[in-house]
Amino acid sequence: MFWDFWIEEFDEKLLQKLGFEGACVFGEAKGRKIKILKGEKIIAKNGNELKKKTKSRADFLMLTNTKERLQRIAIKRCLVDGVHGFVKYPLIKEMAEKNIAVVISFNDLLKSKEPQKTIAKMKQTIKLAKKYKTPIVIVSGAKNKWELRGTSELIAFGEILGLQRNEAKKALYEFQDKIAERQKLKKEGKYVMPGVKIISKD
Amino acid sequence: MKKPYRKRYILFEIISDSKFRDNLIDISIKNAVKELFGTFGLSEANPKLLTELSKGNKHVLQVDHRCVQKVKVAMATIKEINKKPIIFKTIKVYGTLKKIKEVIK
Repeated sequence: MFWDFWIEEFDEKLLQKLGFEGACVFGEAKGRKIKILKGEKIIAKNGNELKKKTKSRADFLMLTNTKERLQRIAIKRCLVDGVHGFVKYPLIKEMAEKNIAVVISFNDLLKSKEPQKTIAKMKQTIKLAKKYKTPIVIVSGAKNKWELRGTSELIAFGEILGLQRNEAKKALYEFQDKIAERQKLKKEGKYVMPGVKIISKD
Repeated sequence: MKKPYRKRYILFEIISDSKFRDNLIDISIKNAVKELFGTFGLSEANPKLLTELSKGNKHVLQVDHRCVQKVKVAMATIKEINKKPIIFKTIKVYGTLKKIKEVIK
């Protein structure tokens, strides 16, 4: 089951046509045939603002700041689920330990004025993520419905960036399934904290 | 012995509100490949739209077997044709013309 974990305009029919069975929407969405999670982008100027914003009840919190200082605060304190952008060495290792994903957006390539630099940075991030086994999430990052891309295209994009075919496929469902599972447990009241869940109340 | 250059046929669909002529699609795909991978990449991939197999929104693109992923990504970078928004959706990649003709029929 493939997920598009970053879309801002929801179009259920189109998403189904493109091969997705779930989506994380950074906006409003109502759908019956597709699983929907609510995401929130976090952009902060300083640490205090970051802490306040991460108290949100969204299903998936994603840091979009590229400042290394803020990335460090968010990762060390486990405030977010994913970090969008380019993450360097010591942080990416810590992300793997804390199960925080690197988010690679296809829209960055679409909107980039210097695509060669964007691709180079993405490749570098993916190389590090592969080395330290950090979860990778490939998303379309669509701001409107015309920026959505199919599963096959996103898998090919992952392959171009240096992933194997199965790894690229996993980048569309593995981490996303875990988040969906966590949210399901939260709704049932069985989730306590990362790694701890209530199996039975007896 | 395997041939050094084998062809692959990408069956894709164009999602858009309007229709486009085949030559426009061909040109935009070639431009996208050239923009992303350069002239050398374009010559390696050698994309060619098989206009005789086009049916409605569905088209067939012939490429080199080593460059299928590259061409898919290049196609995905196409945002619009004639200032009209467009989405390229790959349906499947086939290895022979015979098979793809069967599917299209």
